Amino acid sequence: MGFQAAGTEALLLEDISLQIQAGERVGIIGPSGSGKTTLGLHLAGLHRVALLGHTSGRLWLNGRDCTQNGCEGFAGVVLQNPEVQLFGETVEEEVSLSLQQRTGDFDRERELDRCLNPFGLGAVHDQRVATLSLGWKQRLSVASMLALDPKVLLLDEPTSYLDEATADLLFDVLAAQAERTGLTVLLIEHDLHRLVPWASRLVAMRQGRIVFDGLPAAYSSPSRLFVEPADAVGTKRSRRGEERVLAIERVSFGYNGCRAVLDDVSLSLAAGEIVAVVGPNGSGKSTLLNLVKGLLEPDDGRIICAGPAPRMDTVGLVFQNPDSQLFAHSVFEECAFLPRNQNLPTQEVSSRTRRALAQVGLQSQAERVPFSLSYGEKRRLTLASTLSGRSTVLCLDEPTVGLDGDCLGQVAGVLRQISAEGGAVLLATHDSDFVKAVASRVVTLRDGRIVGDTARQGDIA
Amino acid sequence: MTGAWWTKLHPLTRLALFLTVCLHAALGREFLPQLLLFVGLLVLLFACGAAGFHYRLLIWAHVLGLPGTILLFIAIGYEQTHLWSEALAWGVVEGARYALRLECLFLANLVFISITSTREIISLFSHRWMPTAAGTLLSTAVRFVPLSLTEARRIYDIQRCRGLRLRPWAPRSWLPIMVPLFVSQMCRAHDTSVMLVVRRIAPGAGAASSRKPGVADWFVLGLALAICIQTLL
Repeated sequence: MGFQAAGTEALLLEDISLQIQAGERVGIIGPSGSGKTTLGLHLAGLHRVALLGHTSGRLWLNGRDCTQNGCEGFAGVVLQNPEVQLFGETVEEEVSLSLQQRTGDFDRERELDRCLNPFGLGAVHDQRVATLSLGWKQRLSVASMLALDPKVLLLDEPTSYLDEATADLLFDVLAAQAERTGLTVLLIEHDLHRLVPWASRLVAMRQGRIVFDGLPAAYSSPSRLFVEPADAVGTKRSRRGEERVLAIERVSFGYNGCRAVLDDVSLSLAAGEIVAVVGPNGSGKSTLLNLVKGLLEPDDGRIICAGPAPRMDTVGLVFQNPDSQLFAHSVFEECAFLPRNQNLPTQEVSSRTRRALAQVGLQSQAERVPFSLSYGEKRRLTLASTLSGRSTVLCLDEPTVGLDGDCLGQVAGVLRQISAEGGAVLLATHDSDFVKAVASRVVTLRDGRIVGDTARQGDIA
Repeated sequence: MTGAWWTKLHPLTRLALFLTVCLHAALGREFLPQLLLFVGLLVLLFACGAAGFHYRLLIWAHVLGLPGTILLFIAIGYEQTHLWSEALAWGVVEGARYALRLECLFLANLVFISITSTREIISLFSHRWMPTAAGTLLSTAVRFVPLSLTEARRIYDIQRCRGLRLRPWAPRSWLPIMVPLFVSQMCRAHDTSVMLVVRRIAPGAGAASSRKPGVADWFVLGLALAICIQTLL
């Protein structure tokens, strides 16, 4: 089978030959842009609905030729972004909506509990969906999809917004469901350390082709992060001592005066430090970054940055989704937006922009239209467009989501460079591998409070 | 707001009221009823807790759009009469009336969305006689403005982090919001439509369609019908 996107010459899928049996747990891996999602949408019978282009060869689903017409309703799908998958008002209503679509006799109450409880959603069954964090929304979208009782389930990087414990839980629930109902699971994922022991089969892709198809144990890959651990590289922290660049003093915050998301949080960052904020979904990590940047104001306590410049200038914040910020007609212009707004001289804007692009390996793409970049390149561009400013503290919200090993290595390299030059980095992440690779210190948040603050030694909890 | 009277109305009644208000806003000829409708919708918007960023954006849209609209109408007036005095008098009144119509439509949409859940909206447009694609399109279209506003706020925060300073008189300064908003809404619409297919949200779905309208619903529906007839006549 092959697939050519409309309006292009390039083949997104080429020479694909694959036969999947009922009940298999297939892990689909590969770098960004290798065609994993395109293949997944074909295998779910949704290529006619979700993709624009021409499918060649033959695609048989459930014994039917679905090459040209697709097969809607053949599989359940969980996308990376949970925001677009939820339609109900409350948690219970969301799952009920799926149960209503099911045919056959079943005990509705029992099924509702069976879908909600494994993900801990029973305790929040009457909560409004809009008030849930992204991690909880992702749990809910998986639960809603399982409530449809599909025979095949495609999950596209479902752990992106999940904390470690919930990601483990998701894999366990999927394995149990497959065991109980014979569910066939197709899971697109970057993180091999969870996928390899879970999957019964691994399909690796590169540039639209399958380069490996077999038992996970037989797959030998380089480590996910092509970077040395932080300890091997070292940071400037020891040399710069305790030159404090950011202080968060007894900060408390709640949205619209409701339950405190952060409660009495105190934290300081020294020059050269790379501090990872970890913790379960909804523990207040992203809120903390927004407060540090100045997008939110604390209800109590204060946040102080070294230097006379306002916090908006001193702190840089990199968001997850590049499509929410790209607008300029060239990569250079996109990257120069921040230093121009900081009223820096034209010469300095130009030199800062070129340097930032070089830092993320995009110097040769300066004249390209940002929208034509691959996802990984767009993510690096958003990082560069923050690096080009005059910030001394860089905050990153889930910097590893959707990035493959090559991109992660580059991002890790940039963070180390900032640290070596005396900047400080504060990153909120669920990715323990990335934390091990770059962080010099790990702060653990739970229920809005700091429950751990340690210089990194071995694995994080 | 769960105990408010409007939440007790059948979703179909709320939709009928919404359409009536839209019809009146679009076709009503009297200025005073339009103004009263605008004020009423504004009060309702605050009462149902939907004001906030939406409202501020509305004010901006109004302030930004009004002079341009009036100028356009003055130009049309001059084209027809070739007399500046008449064109000015006609343009100011008609331009303001036109702007008021738009604001009423906008407010009615916000109020309807904030008092009607997504599921109720989807179930309203999901009936056996309506093709699934049409139902999906309508329910997405009705939710488009409020969803866009929420997304606009998120993008505004992101661009603020990049030093954006909005200058209402400089349309170029709005580009960093408008371009990503367009792209993100296109992506969102695509993903949402795929998920509606996957979730099999199809004819007959939802509890709202199985709920029977009560006495209050029939009364309000009758009132809405009367207003529609009066507006059309």
